[in-house]
Amino acid sequence: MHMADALVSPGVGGALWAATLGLGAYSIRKVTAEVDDKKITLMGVMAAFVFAAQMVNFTIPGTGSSGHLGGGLLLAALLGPYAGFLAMGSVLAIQALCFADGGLLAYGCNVFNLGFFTCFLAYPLIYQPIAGDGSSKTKSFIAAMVAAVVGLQAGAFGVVIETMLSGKTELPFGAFVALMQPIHLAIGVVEGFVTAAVLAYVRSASPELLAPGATVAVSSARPKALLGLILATLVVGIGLSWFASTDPDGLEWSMEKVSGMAELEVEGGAHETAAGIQAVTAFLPDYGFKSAETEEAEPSWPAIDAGTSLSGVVGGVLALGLSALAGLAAFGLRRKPRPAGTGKA
Amino acid sequence: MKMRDPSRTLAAFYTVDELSRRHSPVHDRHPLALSATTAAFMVVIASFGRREVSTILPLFLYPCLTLALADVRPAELFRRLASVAPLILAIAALSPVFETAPVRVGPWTIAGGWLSFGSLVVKLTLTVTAAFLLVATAGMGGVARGLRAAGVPRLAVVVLQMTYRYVALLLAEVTTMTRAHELRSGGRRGVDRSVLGPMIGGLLLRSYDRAGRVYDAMSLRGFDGEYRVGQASRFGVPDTLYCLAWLGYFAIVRLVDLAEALGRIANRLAGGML
Amino acid sequence: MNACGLDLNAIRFSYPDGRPVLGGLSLSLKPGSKLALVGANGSGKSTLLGLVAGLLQPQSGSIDIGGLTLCKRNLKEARQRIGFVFQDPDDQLFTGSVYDDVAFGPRNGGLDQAAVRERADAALSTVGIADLADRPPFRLSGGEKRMAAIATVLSMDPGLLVLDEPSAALDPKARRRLISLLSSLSQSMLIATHDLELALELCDETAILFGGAVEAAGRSKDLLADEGLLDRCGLEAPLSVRACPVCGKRAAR
Repeated sequence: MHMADALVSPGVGGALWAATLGLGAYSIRKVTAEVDDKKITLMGVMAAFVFAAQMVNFTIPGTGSSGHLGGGLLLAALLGPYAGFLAMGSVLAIQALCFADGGLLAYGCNVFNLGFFTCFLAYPLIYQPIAGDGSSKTKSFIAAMVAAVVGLQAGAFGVVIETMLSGKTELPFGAFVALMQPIHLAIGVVEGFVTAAVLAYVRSASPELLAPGATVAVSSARPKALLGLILATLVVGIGLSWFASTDPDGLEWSMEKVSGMAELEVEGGAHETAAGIQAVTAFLPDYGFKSAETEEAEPSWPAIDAGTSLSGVVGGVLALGLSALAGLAAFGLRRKPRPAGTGKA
Repeated sequence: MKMRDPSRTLAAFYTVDELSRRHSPVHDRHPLALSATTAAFMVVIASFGRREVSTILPLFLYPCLTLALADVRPAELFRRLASVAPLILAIAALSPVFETAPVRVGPWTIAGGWLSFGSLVVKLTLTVTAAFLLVATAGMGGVARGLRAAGVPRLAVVVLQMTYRYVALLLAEVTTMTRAHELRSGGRRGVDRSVLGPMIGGLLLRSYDRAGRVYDAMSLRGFDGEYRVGQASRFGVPDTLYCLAWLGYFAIVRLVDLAEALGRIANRLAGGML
Repeated sequence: MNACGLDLNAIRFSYPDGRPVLGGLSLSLKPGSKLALVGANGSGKSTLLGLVAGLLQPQSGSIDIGGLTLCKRNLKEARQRIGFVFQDPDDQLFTGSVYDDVAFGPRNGGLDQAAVRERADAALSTVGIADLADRPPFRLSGGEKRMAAIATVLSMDPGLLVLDEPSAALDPKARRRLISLLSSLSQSMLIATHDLELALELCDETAILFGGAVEAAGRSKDLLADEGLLDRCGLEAPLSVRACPVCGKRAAR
């Protein structure tokens, strides 16, 4: 479920980072307005709780496999959507940073898939209306189950869309959806079970935690704010894609820019410099923008694609070897004088 | 779904934390320099096309040098890679199935999907490594300072730091809980649905109470909603140089096909044998 | 800050659910003295500490700390006089490093960077863990955590230390270090504890709580040797004051 950096393009990653920052800023405003300093410790400790609780494996009845908690919906139910969203962001940050569970560039995607859909969609639009004041056990169970399933389905679809837009893999859309949605239906049911069980326990043991005062509802899902967010996401995404995407047009554009500038430099510089640069650039034929060629030539089956030249293959291997050598050399140099310091000042 | 092991997670957590508290030419850099370099590295990798492999390879210089300079043993890194690799590899392995159009790689002709596959593997290795190196050198405190310096609101950063602080404690608690459960569940490792509520719910209530006590401890020491931290260290000349050197290198790798150039040089040296 | 005294006058307190905990409790502590608060579980020790720190408000009665009568308005000022050490050091050490935790109070007090450092360094060396300043709290032993927790309040220069079960979960050596540290400090102390040996050794005076009231208060030596009284209050006389089971003699104290 967590997206890795390898699957994300800068455009998609950047756009969802921007969306996450926007939502985060909005949530912080909301949480600070609640004038309850206690929320800070509560968000931190509860985020740590969710992380730890994810480590509890439990058996899925009748399957022999095991599942665990995701936590977005639970956090929303305990802290309200805004604080819940921020806490979920914290959980995901710890996972990405300390455990490589989800990427850094993909962080925005993950917060969106696992935090936004659960806290701002599943909780206020599904869980709350169905569960009501939580007096009915059956209703609460159904609410948690439906909200968890919908939240995870939306999240899984988010993964598909983000991966497709990033274009790092050529998986057909249909196959990807057919793979992701059923898996996450199962995960959603598991999530629903756990969330419902935990909430039921909390309601019986310590009902004041789930009192209406503890959870601030999203007041009628502000359409304006949401629209603004979507627009901002689109703008950033398109903008970044234009600069950095693998899309041939964008790349050609940037290539022209760069090579144009390079030519300028050579022509405008003094003779010696120009000669020097040319000597260097002689080794760097055509600026090696072979990805553009690759992309352009690619669909023309059965014509054989240019792919990578032999010097590219050899050079790649050489680059790897040289990197390793550089590392070893640096390691050797560091080894000799060995300061015995441990703690960081 | 994979089995999650709290004690192993805790061990991994301690390992990174321990690594980040060392001294080295990398550890001593300003956290903002380390964070910015990592961010640039990630963006550069992600900006490479779906089928680029050899072009990306010169980027390996960054993790290789950083590992060596920071004196970080790669064992922990490999463990990390192994834990995340399967899922991505599964997706990557589908590429050769769906992309059958042949491409030429040197003298060989292969399905284009293999290039996509190779590209994903390289990107996965590099991104996971870079993320690991960031935390192993800057540490969570450093990352937090980097985030603050980059303008992330204090509240979010404080919540993140507090999460980091209590993750270790609660993981230890979960380790004891699951062990106690295992000992009495006749060898079954998963927790049954009937005890799930009390188990996780109980942990939740204890965590909730702890949050209350932590808040009390804070307010008894003058906390008034404003979380004050010490002055950050100065962003010095070495930090600037560190940043510029790496950003410059990344830019060159992105704009110029170093691998191709290297190959040609090698060819020239070998007298055109290739 | 000079050691300050503490006066509790006819404190009544019950929790929101109505169960009464303290019914008209009075207690007093002279500046610079150490008072042990002992009593069985549920006798109201923790509640009493919470009231002194202003975490709970009594329904009636007054709390006077060094001449300042506790109320909502002067809570901040009163709390500067009190160093409250929680039972679980993990509640007290919430930042990423021991130093940051010890500096937390002084920073909130509005001191400048140099003064904060001075205070923190002094507190750390008082408790003898100056070398652990950069450690994260989760990398400390139980004894080190306890010392760090005490340092976090010492850095605020309090006049009264309130300690909740300071010797709980400490190994014998760490407990010994704790006792010698506490006996070397000049602050007044209110120590809630089940460790009657510690009470006997450290505190001149002891108050025994039972059922939400002070059952007896006086010299530790006398109270903690009164086996009848202790037994009635659900406690057990410390070994060091008990008669020898073989010869019937008492240790000379």
